[in-house]
Amino acid sequence: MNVTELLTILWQGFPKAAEFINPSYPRFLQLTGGLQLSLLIAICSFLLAIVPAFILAILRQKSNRQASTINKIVTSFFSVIAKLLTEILRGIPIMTLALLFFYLPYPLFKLRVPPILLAIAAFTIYTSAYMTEIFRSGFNAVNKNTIEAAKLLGLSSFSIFFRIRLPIAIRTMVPTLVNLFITIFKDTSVLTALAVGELTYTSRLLFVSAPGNYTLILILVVSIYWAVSFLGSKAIKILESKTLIGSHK
Amino acid sequence: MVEKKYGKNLVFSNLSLDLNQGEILTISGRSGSGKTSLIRIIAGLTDFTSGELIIDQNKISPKTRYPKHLLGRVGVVFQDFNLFPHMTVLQNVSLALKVVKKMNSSSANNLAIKHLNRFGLKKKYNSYPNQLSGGEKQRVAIARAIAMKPLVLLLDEPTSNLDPTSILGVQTLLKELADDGTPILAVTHNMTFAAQIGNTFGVLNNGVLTLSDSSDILSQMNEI
Amino acid sequence: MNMNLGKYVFNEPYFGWLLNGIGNTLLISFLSGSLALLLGILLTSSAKPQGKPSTFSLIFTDIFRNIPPVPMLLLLSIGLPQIFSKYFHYSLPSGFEFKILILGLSFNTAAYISEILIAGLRGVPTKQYEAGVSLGLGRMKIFFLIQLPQAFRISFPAISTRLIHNMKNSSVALVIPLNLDRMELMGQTSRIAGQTFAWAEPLLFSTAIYLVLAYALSVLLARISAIIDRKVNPDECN
Repeated sequence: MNVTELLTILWQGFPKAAEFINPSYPRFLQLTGGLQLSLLIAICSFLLAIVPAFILAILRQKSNRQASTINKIVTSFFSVIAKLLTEILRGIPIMTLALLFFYLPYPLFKLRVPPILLAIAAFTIYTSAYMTEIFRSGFNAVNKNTIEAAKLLGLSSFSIFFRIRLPIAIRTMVPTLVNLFITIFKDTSVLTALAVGELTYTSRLLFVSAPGNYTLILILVVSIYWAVSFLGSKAIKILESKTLIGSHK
Repeated sequence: MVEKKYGKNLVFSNLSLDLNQGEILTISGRSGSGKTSLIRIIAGLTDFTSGELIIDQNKISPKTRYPKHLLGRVGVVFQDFNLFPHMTVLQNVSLALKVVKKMNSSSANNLAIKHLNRFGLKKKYNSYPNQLSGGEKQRVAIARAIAMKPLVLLLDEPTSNLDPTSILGVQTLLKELADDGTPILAVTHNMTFAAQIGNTFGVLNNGVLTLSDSSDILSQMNEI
Repeated sequence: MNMNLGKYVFNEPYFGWLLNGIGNTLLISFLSGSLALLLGILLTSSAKPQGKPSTFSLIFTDIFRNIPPVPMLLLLSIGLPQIFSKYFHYSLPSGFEFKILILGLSFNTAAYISEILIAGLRGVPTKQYEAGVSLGLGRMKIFFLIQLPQAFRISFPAISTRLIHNMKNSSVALVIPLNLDRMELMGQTSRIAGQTFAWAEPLLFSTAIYLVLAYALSVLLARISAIIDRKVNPDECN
C-alpha cells in the first residue's frame, strides 16, 4: 500500500465487511472510522457537554449577599454537589472512564449500546467536567463595575445578561474552549483500547493488511494528530490576540 | 438629608445638599471619607440608612425602592470609566440609546456620533476601549452618560486616571456641559481641579459636609 | 445487578495483582513526573532571560504537546523496535517498553511544564535579572538561583495540575505490552477481566483507587506549594 492509500484509510476508517454490520444500529455509525470518527466523537461530545456544563456552572455560582437564609442553604447545597461531581470526574483518567462506560452498562443493567454511542457518552461526561470550570471562570471574569455601569444606563437584567455579561464571558472563554476541544480530540485515542475504530485503532488494523510498514503507518498517525493539534493551537493564538482587543480594560 | 451606615460604622450623617441647574458642585475629602458612597447613593447603587433623596421631584427614602425610571437618567462617570470592553466606542455610546430609549439604530448612531464629535473623538468611533488613552476613555464615558440626557452628571474622581493635559481638557468640557444646564457633582481629592471647575465647594470630613461658594474652603483640606 | 467484589477483587491472586498495579502506577507516575520536571526546567533554562523560549525548546514543546500519549507510545513501542532491527540489526531487550512508557509520558508532561515555567519566568520582574547581572552572576546562576525559584512559585499550581494529569495518563499504558509484574493499575484490571470476564468489579475498584491517588497527590502538591510560597516571597524583594 502506498502513502495515499494509507492516508485514505486513516481518514475514513478501515473498510468493514457487510456481514459485520449489525442491522439494529444506524449504518453510518458503523461505517465511519479513522480521523473522521475521532473528530465526530470529539465534536459530538463537545456540543453535548455544553448543556450539562452550563447547568453545573450555574449551580456552582454563589448566592448573592442579600439572598434569604433558605436560598443560601439551597444554593450552597447544590454548589457543593456540583463541585463534588466535577472533582470526582476530573480525578478519573479518561481511559478508566471510557472502560467504565463500556463494561458497566451490560453487567449492571443488561443494556447493549453501540460502542460509538458509549464512547460519545463517556467523552460528554468527561468534557462537561472540564467545561464547567471554563464556564464558571468565564462568568466570574466579567467585571462587576461593568455590570453596574450597564445598570446605571437603565439596561434591564435581561439586556445586561445578553448584551454585556454573556458576550464578554464568551470572548474570554473561546480560546480555552478551543484548547479543551483539542484536548478531547487527542484523548479520543484512548478508545483504541476499546476497539472503537477511531484513528489510532484504524492504524492498528492496518498493521495486518500492510505488514512491515508499522513504523510508516504510526508516523503518519502521529503526524495527523500533531497537525490537527498544532493548527488548533495556532488558531488559539490568533483568537487570543483578537479577543484581547475586546476583553481588556 | 442623607445618612449612611455600614453596619455600625457611621459614614456620614446630617449631610444635606442641593444641586441646581447649571451648577458644578465639587466635594473633596480624604479617601475613606464617604465621597464615593455619596455618589453611589445618589445613583441608586447603594442603600442609605435614613434621610431623603430627591431627584427631579422623586422622593426616595430607605424604605422606597429606587425608582426604575431614574436608572439611565442619572449619569455616572466612574473612576476607572467602566466602558464595555467588548464594544467599540460608538457601540458604547449608542447601546443604551437603542436598548433603553428604543431609538432606531441610525438615529442612535447619529446622536452618539454628534456627542463623540463634540468631545473630540471623531477618529475613534471604531476603536475598542483598550486602544484608547485614559483621557479618551473618560471622554467616551462622559459622552455615554451625556447622550442619555441625564438629570444630573456624577463624576467619581475624574482626574485620578488622567495626565495633566487631559485634566485641562476635562475641565473645559465639564464647564461647557454645566453651561448647557446639566448639574454636575464631582467628588475629587484633587483640590486644584476642584477649585478650577466648581461654583460650589464642599469638604467632607468625619461624616460632616461643609459647603461654601468660595474655593477658600478647600484650604481646610490641608488642615485635615 | 450483581457484583462480587469478594470474588474478583479481594481474592487471591487478583488482589495481589491490583496491589502490584497500584505500586507500578505510583512508580511510573513518580519516575515520569520527576523526569518531566527535570526536563521542563532544563528546557526553560535555555530561554532568554526575559522569557523568550529557545528554538530547541519551542520545537520540543510543539512536537510533544501536540501528540497524544497513546499513538506516541505505540510509535515508540512498536515502531522503534522495527527501526532498530531493520536498520541496526539490533533487537531491543525485553521489557524496554517500561522505560519507553516512562520516557513517553515524561516528554509529554515536560512539554507542558516547560510552557508553564516559561510563562512563570515572564512573571518574574526583569529587575531581578538585572540585579543578578549587577552582582556579577552568570546567566545560569541567575536562572537557577534567582529566576527559577520565583518562576516556580508563580507556576506551581499549574505544574501541580499537570503532574496529577501525568499520574492519570499512566493508565494509557494499557495499549502497550508490558511484563506482567510491570503492569500498572489499568493493565492489572484488564488482566483480571481477561481471566474472569468480570470487568465491573476490578474496574470500580481501580476507579476508586485513581480518585484516592488523585486526591492524595493534590493534597501533597498543595503542601509543597505552601512550602515554596513560604520560602520564596517575592512581595518583600521588589
